[in-house]
Amino acid sequence: MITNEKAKFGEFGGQYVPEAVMQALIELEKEFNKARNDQQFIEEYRYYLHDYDGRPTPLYYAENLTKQLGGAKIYLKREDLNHTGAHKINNTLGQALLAKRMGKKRIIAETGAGQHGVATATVAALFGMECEIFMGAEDVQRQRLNVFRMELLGAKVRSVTSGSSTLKDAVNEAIKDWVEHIDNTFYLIGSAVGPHPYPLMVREFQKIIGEEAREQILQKEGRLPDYVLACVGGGSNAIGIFYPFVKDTQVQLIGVEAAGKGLDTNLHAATFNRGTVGIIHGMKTYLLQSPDGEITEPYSVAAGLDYPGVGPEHSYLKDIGRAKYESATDEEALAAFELLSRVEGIIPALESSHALAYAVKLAPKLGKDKIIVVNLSGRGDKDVQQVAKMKGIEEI
Amino acid sequence: MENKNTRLQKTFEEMQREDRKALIAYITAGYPDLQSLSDIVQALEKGGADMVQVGIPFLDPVGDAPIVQVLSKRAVENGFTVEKFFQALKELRMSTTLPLLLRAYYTTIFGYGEDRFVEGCKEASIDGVVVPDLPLEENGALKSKLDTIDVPLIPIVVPAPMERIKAIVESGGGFVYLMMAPGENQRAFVDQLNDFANQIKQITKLPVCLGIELRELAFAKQLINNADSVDGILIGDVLMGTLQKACDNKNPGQLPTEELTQVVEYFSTSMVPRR
Repeated sequence: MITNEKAKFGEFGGQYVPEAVMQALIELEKEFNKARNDQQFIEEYRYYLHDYDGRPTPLYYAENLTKQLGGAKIYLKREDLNHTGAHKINNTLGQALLAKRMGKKRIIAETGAGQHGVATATVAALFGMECEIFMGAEDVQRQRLNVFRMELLGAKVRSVTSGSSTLKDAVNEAIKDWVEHIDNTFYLIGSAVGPHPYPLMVREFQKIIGEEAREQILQKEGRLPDYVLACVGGGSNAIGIFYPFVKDTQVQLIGVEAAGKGLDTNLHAATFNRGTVGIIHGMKTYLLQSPDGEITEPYSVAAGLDYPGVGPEHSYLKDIGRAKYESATDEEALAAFELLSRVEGIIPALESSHALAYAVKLAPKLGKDKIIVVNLSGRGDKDVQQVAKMKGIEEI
Repeated sequence: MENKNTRLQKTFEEMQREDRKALIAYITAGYPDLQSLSDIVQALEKGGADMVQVGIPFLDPVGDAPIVQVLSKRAVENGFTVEKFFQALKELRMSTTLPLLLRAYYTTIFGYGEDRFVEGCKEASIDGVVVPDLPLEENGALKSKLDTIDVPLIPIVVPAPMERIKAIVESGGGFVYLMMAPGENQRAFVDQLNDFANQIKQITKLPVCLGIELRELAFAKQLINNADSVDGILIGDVLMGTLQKACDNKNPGQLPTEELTQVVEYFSTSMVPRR
């Protein structure tokens, strides 16, 4: 028997949080349900997606890449062309509008490498809201440029020193702050994770990616694709592009997680390939954990993929067999990063490079009549310094 | 087998007869090590604790004061496992007659396995289980398993619509933990607390205990003396702080049992009868 069904995808998801947090979630769920059925709210959201963010993003036929790989036709969903450089803003715009509607004057968010923090600070600036970003102290040191970006956008960055001073601790502190300041504060979660209603809400704000892609491929090819590929950390870009294709059972959905230094090492973020079902951040899902349920630290060259859990809807899609979850190593992702830069003139984010890396493996095995859509979730400008360093080019 | 529910009930009945509040001493297990658990609990008992709440270390304790995370981290670094913990708990049970409450995050319980967890509670004859991250919506499975061994899941309530509070209280047993953050005005807080406790008492016969972590000694004492509608008070933060400070400053292996006893005494001796 599955309890709390409205909050779950099969057995996954739910609300494993203290009662004080429940009070906040109950209010949020109520307001979100009202908003998603309110035409005026939807129009306002669409307006900002169009005029501020620049949607719809193109579905680009990567002809050079296709020729180079010599197999299936590859299309790229250009989420890298969003304002702030990734799909993240689809969600932050939606949640910030909801916060505004709820009369909240302050937005808080967690961030790992800083991308979600920047996307949140951006919408807070746009809507004139106070903004505080929780970031692990180690990440604050490593990502000074993004810290400066957030501050430039008017946000305050709070360095979190509790626990292991990383993303999971930033989430814990943000939750505590939310409970203490529930009257005026909205907690804007960056991926399709956390307690209900977050995974559902984030999917609803990201499904625009798949809706557009589905329409665009029908227009260009007159048929649905054979494969849709997306990288998976928390899984918001993946669920965004998968969801509108879930009912099209002829379309294979493949999520690609980070195998880091390899699945047989301790340095990876392969939640599905190496994890087990447990509880993290208020949800039941696959995660990397010790036998006693303590979270183990994940690793990936792509900061946006090193999350120890995964969105509960992905766990559900995996268990019912609707989606498959493969992995790509750091090395494979870096090769794809360089390949796309060279042959298409597009520098992809290291996260998205994992999805591309899998396309590089898959396409040559398929006939030229097959179609693959890859979600190019973000641009790689943020990563060039890191890649240069890895290649031994120190001073840039 | 002795009826565990009675042990908890008896304590509250005794409190009522003596017209005083129950003092619940809360400590995170595994710090400085598991071997010390029995000695620590003995020190708490000596100081006059009426019940002891033992927490299983957890690295992301969102429902606890920061000290719990600090001690948990040290415990885990020192090789703490839930399996070893239940062994230590069995030994502890033999060395004290006080009601023992077990506080564990659902993350830990699910990771260790619900059935194994319940088995451990049974073997250590635990008197109540407190799970801070398992709200009404999700507690059905664990509750029915605890029912089979006659161990109550202690309900936790915060200010909320009465309908919800009623459902939460009815889903648990033993007593009610009341969580309410003290605002700026401490005087006003005592009144709010009494009002809230009285509201809860209108819908349940269960005793109502204050479950917030009291950091300031003087404020805690004031609450103990003035929160007349509350049947029990939790002290954890100050105990764990004392333990940590002493263990960090002294030679390892030397437990600050006297200091712990003194802290509990500070509270237990101020448990004046209710007016």
